Order: sequence, then C-alpha cells, then structure tokens
Amino acid sequence: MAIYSFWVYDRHCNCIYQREYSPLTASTSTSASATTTSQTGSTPRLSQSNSALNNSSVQRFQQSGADNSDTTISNNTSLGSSSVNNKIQELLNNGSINAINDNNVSKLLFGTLFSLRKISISLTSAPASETTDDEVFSSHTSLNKFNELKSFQTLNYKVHFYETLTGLKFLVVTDPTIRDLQLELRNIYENHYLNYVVRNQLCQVEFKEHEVISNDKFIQSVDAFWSGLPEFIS
Amino acid sequence: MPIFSIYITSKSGSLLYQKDFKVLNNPITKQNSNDYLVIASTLHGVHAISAKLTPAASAKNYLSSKLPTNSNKTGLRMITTSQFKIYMNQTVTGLEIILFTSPDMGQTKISGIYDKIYQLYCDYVLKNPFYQLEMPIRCKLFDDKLLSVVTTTNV
Repeated sequence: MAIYSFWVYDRHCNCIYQREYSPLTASTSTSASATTTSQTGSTPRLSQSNSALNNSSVQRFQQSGADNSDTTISNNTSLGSSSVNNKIQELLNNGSINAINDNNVSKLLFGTLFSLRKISISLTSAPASETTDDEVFSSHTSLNKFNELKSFQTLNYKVHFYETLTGLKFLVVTDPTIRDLQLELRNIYENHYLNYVVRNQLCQVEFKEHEVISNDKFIQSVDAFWSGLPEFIS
Repeated sequence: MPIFSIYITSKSGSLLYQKDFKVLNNPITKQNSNDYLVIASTLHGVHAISAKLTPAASAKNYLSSKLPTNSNKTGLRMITTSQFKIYMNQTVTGLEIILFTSPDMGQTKISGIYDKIYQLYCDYVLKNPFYQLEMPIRCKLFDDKLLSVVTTTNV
C-alpha cells in the first residue's frame, strides 16, 4: 500500500476534503518529550475505526460502494488481474472520507506543512525587517516569485505538496520511495477539482468552517485517479 | 552538489551553530540572527511532530530502507523545495545536524557527510575542555575542519 491518504485544504486553512486509504495514526500518547519519542521506534497508536464509523458521510459512501467500485474497475483495465482489482476495491471501501477533517492529525499535518512552507519562502527572500507588509503580501500573489515547498519525508512516509495560486493546498501521503507526485496533484486540481467542484453550480467555491466537499462525482473520479496509478499498490 | 549552510541544534531545540557557506548561485539569502533561531527551533518542533503523523501501515517501513537507521527512525529526514533541500539527522543523544543543500544532493552522499561532521563535533567540540554542553559552539578548530569538509564536497 503505497498511497496512504489525500487531503485538500482551502485558503482559510480548513481541511475541505480528506480521503484515507489507510488510516493515519491519531497519536494521543502523552509519553516523554519530543526528542525521545522521535527516537523510539514504536509510538502508541489508536485505531480510528470507531470515529470513522460514526460519520454519516462514510456510511453513505459504503452504501454506494458498489457503483463506485464498478467505475474503478472499468478505469483499471491496464491492471488486468482480478486479484489486484479486488485489493484496490477493498482499500477503497475500507478507507474513510471526510471523517477526520477537524481531527488533531489533520491539524498537525497542516501545521507541519505551513511551517515548512514558511521556512522555504523566508529563507530565499530578504529578512523581514527589510520588507514592508505590503511587499510581503504582493510577493505571495505574484507568479513564480517564491521558492515553493515540494515534499517532505521521514523514513516511513512522504508527503507531496502542491499549492495553487488561489491558496488551495493539495497533499498526498505516500511511501517514501515513491517518485515526485506534484504533477499528479496538479492534474487533480486541473481535471477533477475544476470540473467537479468549481464548475458545479450546486457546489460552493468558498467553504465555511466544517463544510467539506461531499460531491460524489469528485470523490469517485479522484478515487479512480489514485487507484489507476501503478504506485497505488506496491 | 554544494552544501549551502549548516545548522546544529541541541536536544532542546536551541541553535548551537550556524554557518552559511559561500557558494555560487546560492538561493539562501542572509537572515537576521533572530530568524536563524526561529528557523532552527521550528525545524526542531516539526521534526518531532512529523513522527506523530506516521500512517499505521507504514510504521515499519524504515526496516526495509537501505539507509543507516540507528537514529532518526521516525523523525523528519528530508524537505524538498524547488531551490534547495534540507536534510536533517538526529543522533541518539538528541543533537540535530541540519544541512541545506542543492536539490541534486542524494541521500547516500549526505549520510557520509553527516558521519564526518559528527566526528568533528566529537573531536573538536566535546573534547574541548572550555566547551559547556548546550551552549553555542565557538571553537576555531571546529570551524576550520568543518569548512575543509564542506569545501571538499562543494568542489
């Protein structure tokens, strides 16, 4: 299993879409300080299945699981063997959708990314004292001016990151051995997000707090896209 | 494959040593001394947080990696941006060596450089009778030797 989860954050830092193919840990461990926990290999993990099952969107997805997996199979003709298809289907059905958008994991992930993004931008620009607030603002909106964060990784996982000019952030958590998936994230924005969210008149463009993308077309096409990649099962 | 700069932070996240090297086309601009402290402690915090984000299914991935894994099994290792890469390594005692390199630097080469830098730290900082633990490193010999290690890789 090489692609673990996929996240979309809007420009107000809210998680508007979260799709998990394999659970991220909700580590509630209170043990020890930062340096010691990062050295010990095992951290206590809490299963997320309980919280996931309570969510209505998950239940709804599982009901419509049959139609969804059909589309997946038809898009995966290249994979051929039915055992692979069964495995993909199982992963798609077992995962959760929009179950932990406001969870600590989601916030930690965003916080990590936000700090790293800030470091990569500030290190390549002049020190803050020499630029005014106006300049900082305009440099964020101007094209290709700043150094963009691409990915970060540990020995266990890798997070790929793509940010649009409008401040939407696309994230995918994968195996550390996987090639750069920035182009794929861009593809999702251009071909899936734009088609099924922005051009959908019934779907809002600006998300309020606790509002998420619950658009079945978007969910299905993104699932089909990720499961169609050769990296989805490694 | 040049190294742009090096930060060394203590186990509590305070910046012990920071040096920018003179390299052609260096994308990293000079910052305030305060900014260096902020960046170092942010990286230290993010290093610890990223260990908590490990997906359950990938928790044992480090066993199959070919890299030396006696330390920093779960923390942040590498950050890729479009203009530079940041490599982080933590020793078993909590000391973090952070290297800012060009994007074409590979993981295997960097682990050799870590070993050399850590060796220098042991020889010229820890064995210095005037050095106090957890305090900023001001040892001329360490400076000189570090510069020669970095210059050989930068050339």
